[in-house]
Amino acid sequence: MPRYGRTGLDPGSFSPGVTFVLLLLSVFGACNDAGFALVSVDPIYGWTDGCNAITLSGHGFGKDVKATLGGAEITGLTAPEAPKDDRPSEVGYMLFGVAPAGHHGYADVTLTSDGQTSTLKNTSSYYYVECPAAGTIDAVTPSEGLAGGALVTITGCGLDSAAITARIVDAAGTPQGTDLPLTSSCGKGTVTFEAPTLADGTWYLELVDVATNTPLTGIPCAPADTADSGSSCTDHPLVYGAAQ
Amino acid sequence: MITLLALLTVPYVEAADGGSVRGSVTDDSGLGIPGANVVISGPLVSGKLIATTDENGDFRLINVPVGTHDVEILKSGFPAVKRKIKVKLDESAFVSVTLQVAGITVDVEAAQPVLDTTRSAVSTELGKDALDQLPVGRSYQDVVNILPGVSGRVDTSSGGPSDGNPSVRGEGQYGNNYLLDGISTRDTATKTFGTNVNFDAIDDIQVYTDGAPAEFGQATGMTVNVVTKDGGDEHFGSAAYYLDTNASSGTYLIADLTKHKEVETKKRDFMTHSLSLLAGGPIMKEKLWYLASLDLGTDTTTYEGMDPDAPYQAYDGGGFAKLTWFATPDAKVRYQFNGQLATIDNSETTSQVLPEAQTRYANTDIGNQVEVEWRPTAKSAFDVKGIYSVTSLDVTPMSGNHDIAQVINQETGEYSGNASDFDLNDRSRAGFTFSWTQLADKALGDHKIKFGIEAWQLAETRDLQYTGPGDGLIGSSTTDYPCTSPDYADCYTRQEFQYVGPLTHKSIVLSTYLQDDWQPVKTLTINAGVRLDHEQLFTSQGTAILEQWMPAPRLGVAWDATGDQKTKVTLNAGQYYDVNGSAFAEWGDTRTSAGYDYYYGPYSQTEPYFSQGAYPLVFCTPESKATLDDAGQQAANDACNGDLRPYHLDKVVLGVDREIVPTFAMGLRGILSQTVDIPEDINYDDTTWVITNPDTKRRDYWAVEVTAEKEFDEHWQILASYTLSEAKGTMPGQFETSSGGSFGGNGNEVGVFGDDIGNADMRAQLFDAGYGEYVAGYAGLGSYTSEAGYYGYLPYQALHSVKVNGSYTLTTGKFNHTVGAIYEYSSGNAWQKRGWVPNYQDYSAFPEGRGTRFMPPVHYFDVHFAEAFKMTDKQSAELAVDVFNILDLGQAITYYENDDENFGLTMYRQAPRSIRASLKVTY
Repeated sequence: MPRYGRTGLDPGSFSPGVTFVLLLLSVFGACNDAGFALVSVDPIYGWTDGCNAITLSGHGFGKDVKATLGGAEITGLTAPEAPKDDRPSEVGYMLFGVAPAGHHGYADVTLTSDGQTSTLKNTSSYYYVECPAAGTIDAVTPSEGLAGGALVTITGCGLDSAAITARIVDAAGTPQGTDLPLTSSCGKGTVTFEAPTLADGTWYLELVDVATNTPLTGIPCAPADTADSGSSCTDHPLVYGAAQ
Repeated sequence: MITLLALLTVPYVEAADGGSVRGSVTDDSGLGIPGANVVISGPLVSGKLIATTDENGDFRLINVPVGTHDVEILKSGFPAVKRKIKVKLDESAFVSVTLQVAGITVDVEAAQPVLDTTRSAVSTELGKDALDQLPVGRSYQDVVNILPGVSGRVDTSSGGPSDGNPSVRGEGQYGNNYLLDGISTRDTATKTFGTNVNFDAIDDIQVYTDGAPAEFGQATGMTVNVVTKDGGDEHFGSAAYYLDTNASSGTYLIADLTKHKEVETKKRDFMTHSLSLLAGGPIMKEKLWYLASLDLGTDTTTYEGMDPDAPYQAYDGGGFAKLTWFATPDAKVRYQFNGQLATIDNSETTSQVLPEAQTRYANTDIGNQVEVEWRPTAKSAFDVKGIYSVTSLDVTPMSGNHDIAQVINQETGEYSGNASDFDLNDRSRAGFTFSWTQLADKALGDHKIKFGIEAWQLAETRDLQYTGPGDGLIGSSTTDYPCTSPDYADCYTRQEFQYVGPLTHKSIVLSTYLQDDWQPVKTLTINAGVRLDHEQLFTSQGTAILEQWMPAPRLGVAWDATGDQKTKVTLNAGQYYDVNGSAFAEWGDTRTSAGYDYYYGPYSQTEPYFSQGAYPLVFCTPESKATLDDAGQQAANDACNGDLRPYHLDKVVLGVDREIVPTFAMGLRGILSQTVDIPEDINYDDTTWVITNPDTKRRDYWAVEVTAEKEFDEHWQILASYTLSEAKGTMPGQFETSSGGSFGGNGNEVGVFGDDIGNADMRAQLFDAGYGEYVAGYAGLGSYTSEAGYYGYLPYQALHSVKVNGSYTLTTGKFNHTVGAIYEYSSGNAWQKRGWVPNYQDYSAFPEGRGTRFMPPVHYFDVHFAEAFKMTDKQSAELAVDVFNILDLGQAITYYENDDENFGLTMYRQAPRSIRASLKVTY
């Protein structure tokens, strides 16, 4: 099992006898073992459309791992990279993945590692929040330093790439070029579009209902985005050129 | 002649906080000699102590002063025999004398057994003379770190050994009880040590890591019994100067709270100067003794990056004085005063504080103690003590201007006032103790019975001072998100502390105990005892809010397996509660009374989501449960079963000790303990907290320990131990509530954040209403309903611990050459990972199971060199140099990592190598 067991000793600093004793004592440290357990999931909630990044934490994670959320597989499970400094290694203690779509309510989180299974249940588990009918934009990345051809990712929920498109407008709401098709990279939770070529400056993103060719209304913005009243998310700026 | 001598002797005892002497007097055929007088005398004994042997030739003496005394055995028809006997604190010294039918008075040098085969408790005596030969810090809190089962040094982040609060057997720094001359001085609020004591005024320290008898009170950790020197019939004293400085660069970390991370490592250097004076002796021989001690010190510490014009400058002083009046041949009265003062200019050493808003920290401990002891017969003693002590903390701005914004706002990066940094805090302890010690023989064996009653008032008064601009509210506020509208409609979280004047919370404790050291046969002692404490907590309005009973039985067996005082087999089992103290009363007070108001509002709603008003903390008693029942709060009852119990530790110790060669003994013991009924404040539905005993909150400890001890004999000593242990559980907390303390300054206050919203339906409602982040902010790690992440290796837990301490003194002519050394190895503390909890704005949560990883092994090596020149038999001058942490490995000892991707720095490393030089003159 990976562990943080560096002795911190420089054997060259001591006589062979002292080094032997110190290292012998240091070996004792390798006996600590906390076993296998899934301890937490972060975040502890997300949209029913899934697709958001999640982190599983615990200890004793092996190489052969599989995780589910509400019975659906957590995709893209990856382990952290080995540390490059004197930080303890996260390998064996943390896993990254993408939440699958789920049903409204609590969902057990289960991790299987080398044949052992550990589950988070009840209030220690994950909660699926129903996606509002109008959908939600949680984040637009990148939103600064853009240039024509850049791939812009919109995360949230209810982002149906077949029914909506992206529109870039100026501060007055005037469209800049044609509407941009969205490509789903993860169900209705993550869509992308190719940034058009525009002059340096600040532009704004709107989502447009293809059927009616009108900006969507009622899409609540990210919770922390208190400046938005929830009308059309026109405050999602896209800054071209150097970040401001 | 002997009868005459007996009549003339004055059966004084120096201190009830002494030891005992027992033994036997036999003739050369091995038969006991009845009627022999055993006379103990010396400069530390006023008059003489006399016992008479019974028909078996056995004798016992109680309340004998600590130290080495003369013993003379007198019996008509036999020549007198003289011995020296060393009496240790709380222990029973054994002396065996064979009288020859013919001959002359002889001095016999016989090795005194080092094992006390009448005690089943695990304790170690730390005599001041022995400690002076070792490289230890100059405080009783520090020296206990050399003992097995104690982990305190690894928590230090400052130079030299720690003088903080050590932990023992997994119980954390809040589980210990500290007695000064037999009476508790534990801080009434913080449950840590309550006062310092001038180190040179200390005579002896007895540390019970396991199995403390009932008379020593309730403590789930260790009991440290510090006994100070008394005067005597001979004058003595010392004057010493100490210089401490770091010999390599220490480091400390700068936190940038606007970025939620500790970012920089800076150099830290310190230099301290200390002067220690001590004098004692008779004012009137055998009538009135005095002791006086004065310590003065300064500490200048420079922090790289801090304002050089505002250096961290500490001044401290300690005065200790004692008068002992032998009023009658049977009675004495003792008064002692202990005053400890400390001030620190520019005490804030973080970048969070504006330089112009630096603070002056002042601490004053004043303790007064009166004791009356009456010993009507040689077999009984009565003792009454009264104490009143006050600890005062006062933190004020250096500028004197309370309106200067001081502390950075973690969310906005702006500076704001912080009431908690300018406060007045008085903690007082008032009480009295009564004890009756009685020897009773021939009642199915011999008994030493002790009965006592105690009464205490533990109080804390706190006065939060206003530091910000006035708007009608006196207090501080924390505001999240815009929160600019008058009705707080745009607040996410807002709390206001309305000034309501000084608040005093009290705990009244009434206690009684009865214990018996019963020897049904000579080789077997049963240490039986029971202690009962009753505690009642009072709010600032004087309302009684909690009443708890703490019945604590303790039973031990000590068997002198070989009948020669050289082999001891012990079994000790006991229950140890924790007296709550005043802070628990504060937590149980309704927060409205403390001036707290809370407002919670969503981002754009016009009405606060949660009702305004206080969050009551409900002690989950039958009465409060009935109230919750009446209110139909079924969810509350999921957490509250109406049976809030005081928490306690149950411990069993099995051991065997053997004196291998004279004055050298080895021991092996196994220790098993569990701490249960630990209280926790549970926020079950985000509107009410209940304080109850979750089943998931407990601590488990086991250890196997090997010890080797060569008793200090003026030449050499050694105390070595290896402890294999495992300490797991929920984190000890200052109040055993709010286990997720947000500070990590010493590695003890970290824990799992447990104040989650435990009710699933309530959580679901919050998620669905768009308060997911809010709930996540409370989530932290774990839950009182689940052990996952809540139960783990404790932060100071290291599986293996090796400690070797020793000294050797070589005498050549008038010179004593002393070398002392300490080696300490820890296989590495359990590692803690902390996460960012938005609602609490600190590193409180643990996204990984606590203690799932371990820090690297840690080695300490300290040395002490001293050259003493004996000018006369009683006068000497000593020059000493101590080097602490000579290896200077800079190993990480406590590590926190935050979820923030930029965070990940080691927070605490081993203290730097440091040097202490001293010159001491003794007379």
